[in-house]
Amino acid sequence: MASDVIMPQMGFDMTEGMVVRWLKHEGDTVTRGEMIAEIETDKATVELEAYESGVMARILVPEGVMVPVGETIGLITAPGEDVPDVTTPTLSPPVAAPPADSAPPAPPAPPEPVEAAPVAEANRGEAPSTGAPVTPVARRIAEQAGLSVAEVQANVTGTGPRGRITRGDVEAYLEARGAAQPESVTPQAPTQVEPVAPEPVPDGGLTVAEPPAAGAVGIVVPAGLPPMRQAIARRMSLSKLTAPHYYVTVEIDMTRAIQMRAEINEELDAESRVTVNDLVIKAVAMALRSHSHFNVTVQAEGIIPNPTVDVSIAVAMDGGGLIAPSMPDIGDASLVDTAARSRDLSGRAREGRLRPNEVSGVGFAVSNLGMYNVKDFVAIITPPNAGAIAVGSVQSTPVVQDGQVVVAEMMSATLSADHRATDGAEGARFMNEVRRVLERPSLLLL
Amino acid sequence: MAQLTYRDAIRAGLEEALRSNPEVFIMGEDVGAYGGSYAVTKGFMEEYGEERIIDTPIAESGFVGTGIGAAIAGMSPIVEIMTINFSLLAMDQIVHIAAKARYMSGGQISVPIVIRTVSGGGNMLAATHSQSLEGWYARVPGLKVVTPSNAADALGLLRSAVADPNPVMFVEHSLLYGSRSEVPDEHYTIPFGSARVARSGADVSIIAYLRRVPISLQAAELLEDDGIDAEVIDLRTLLPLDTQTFIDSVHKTNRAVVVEETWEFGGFAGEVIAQINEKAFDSLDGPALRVGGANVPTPYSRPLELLTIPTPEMVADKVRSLF
Repeated sequence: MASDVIMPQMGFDMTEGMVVRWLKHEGDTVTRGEMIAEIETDKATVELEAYESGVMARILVPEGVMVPVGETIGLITAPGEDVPDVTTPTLSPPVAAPPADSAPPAPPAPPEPVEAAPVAEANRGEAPSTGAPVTPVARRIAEQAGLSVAEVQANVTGTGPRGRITRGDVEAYLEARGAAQPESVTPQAPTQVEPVAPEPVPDGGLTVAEPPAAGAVGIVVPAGLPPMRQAIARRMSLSKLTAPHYYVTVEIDMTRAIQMRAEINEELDAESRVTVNDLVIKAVAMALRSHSHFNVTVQAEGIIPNPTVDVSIAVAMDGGGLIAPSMPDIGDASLVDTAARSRDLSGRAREGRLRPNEVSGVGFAVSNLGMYNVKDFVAIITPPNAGAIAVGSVQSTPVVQDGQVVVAEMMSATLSADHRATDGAEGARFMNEVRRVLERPSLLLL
Repeated sequence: MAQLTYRDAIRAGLEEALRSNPEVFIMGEDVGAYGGSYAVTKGFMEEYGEERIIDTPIAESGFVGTGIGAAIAGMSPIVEIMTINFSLLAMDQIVHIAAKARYMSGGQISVPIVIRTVSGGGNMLAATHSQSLEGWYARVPGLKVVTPSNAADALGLLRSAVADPNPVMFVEHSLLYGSRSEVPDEHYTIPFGSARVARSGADVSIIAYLRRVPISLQAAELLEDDGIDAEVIDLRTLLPLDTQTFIDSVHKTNRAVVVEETWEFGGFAGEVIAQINEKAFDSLDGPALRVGGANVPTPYSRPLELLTIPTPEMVADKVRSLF
């Protein structure tokens, strides 16, 4: 059975990608899970793995060519299987124009007799249409994003003349929808979204808004930015405009956790050591397991529980910018395994060698500026996640314990959470759970 | 670079042709003793003699036919028809003889004639002297129709016209003669079928020719106040037509407005819009629109005449209707 290799959507706002290098060539044997190509997105270069074993029968997109997400870029067949007829996808960008047509035409055919029509006839009204008119370029852009014209008409408000749905309207809708949509971790064609009807709230008399309305979101991405800065600008602006943030800060006594970490690290090789951040990641993963209403994504379709506990970590890039790669299914990993995975992940993030499911952006985020000697800060949630935690430095601080002033190793942690999914009291309970396990660090070893 | 008027650029091109090629001669009504109705050939008769600068009777069919015959016989005539309105009397010679002689002789006959003529209204010359008929000729296979909007293009295109072995309609605009622009000192030519991006912009493509190019550039300035960044394309020649430049532009801007002076109904703008529909439909963010002259015989009355010819405000209004 032949299976298509598809340009994956890695990151919710990725619309196109480029194969920078094919690691397999036509005729090569591939094993499921093996890396077959390096894909460049606006954020990073990531490796694409084979989802089927077989033979790399066809490479349909050469290296260095941008193709839309969902485009078939290659074909894997069973050994010996016939290669089905496949056509090369549209490679040229939409701006490619037809060849010049400037030569004088051939002598014209004799004109066919036509009945003369009064001038006014020529000015008759618009073509009949059941929905708002959608301009050709708006249709094309919607189609590329996997939206039908009916879906566009149902979801997008036209701001053009006579309510016409323009390119800008569709782009604004896609931008807003992207914020509320999960990233498809597995490469597949973009999912089709059913229009969501507004539902009345029983008591307050308010109505739940549709997914962020098209045209309502005025995101400004300054011109001339490199791709990663553009992605940050777009994503963070969108988050701040569409996800209502609330914040909860707790002070955590890390004295015992620091002590335990020192003891553990004495037993470990230099490259396996556990960092303070690893303790936090482990504590957050544990809290997400017990407070599952934070382990969700906030989407237009609803608040969707995550099937696994995924934590992402903010990694500052050497040349500026940042990326938040994800550690999928980290819920059951031991502290030492968590440390190993986070070290591996941040290392590969800096080298631009992430895997598709790692740049998906799904995963409750841990952002740590502890190394810069900051007391506290707040993070912006990366949509569609439900929250993020910002961690400051561990600082020796005088605190009052049992009526005595003593020195403790204190650390501030601030939750940013999406108010659409949870409320402040829940946020406080969640942060207290993070604090509880960090202040009783042996729980981290369970 | 010298600042030249449109008139002086054409004069320079004509003198260059007269000096460099003894087969070149100029013929037409009032081109000699009077110096041309728009003073383009002033002083030529004294300079180049009555053999090469020939005043004709008021008989367009006769002197255009004579020019075509001279071209077939090996001369390089530059025939001036005082205005394009009078070219109708010579239309049979132009459409049936000049445009078809090469084709119907199996390539044995060349007609290297340049027919200079003047188009446009706005001078209170009333209905029969104010028309813009160049689009009619642009429908005739075998002709070339050149429509310069400024001095530099006029000189570069005139050089190409004189060098062309086929009949060329070189259409000037009566209200452009005094306009000035930078003309390069070094020798250059502008090939037919190469439009020019007169102003680069991102939001809408305004496509024009002849005097509607400066008018469209003024419209683009008005539109700046609306936050609309207009691109202006000067077609420069109607036949051959460079479709690539404006199609590329529409792919970029997603909107198009085509501007011309002639009657809007059935005008050349319709052809440009048809090309856009065929080649850039999926890039359009609204209908390709046109701004042409009113579908009436041009009034003599100054206030009425002004209402029949596209102004920067009319162009800007049409563009705004797309946003």
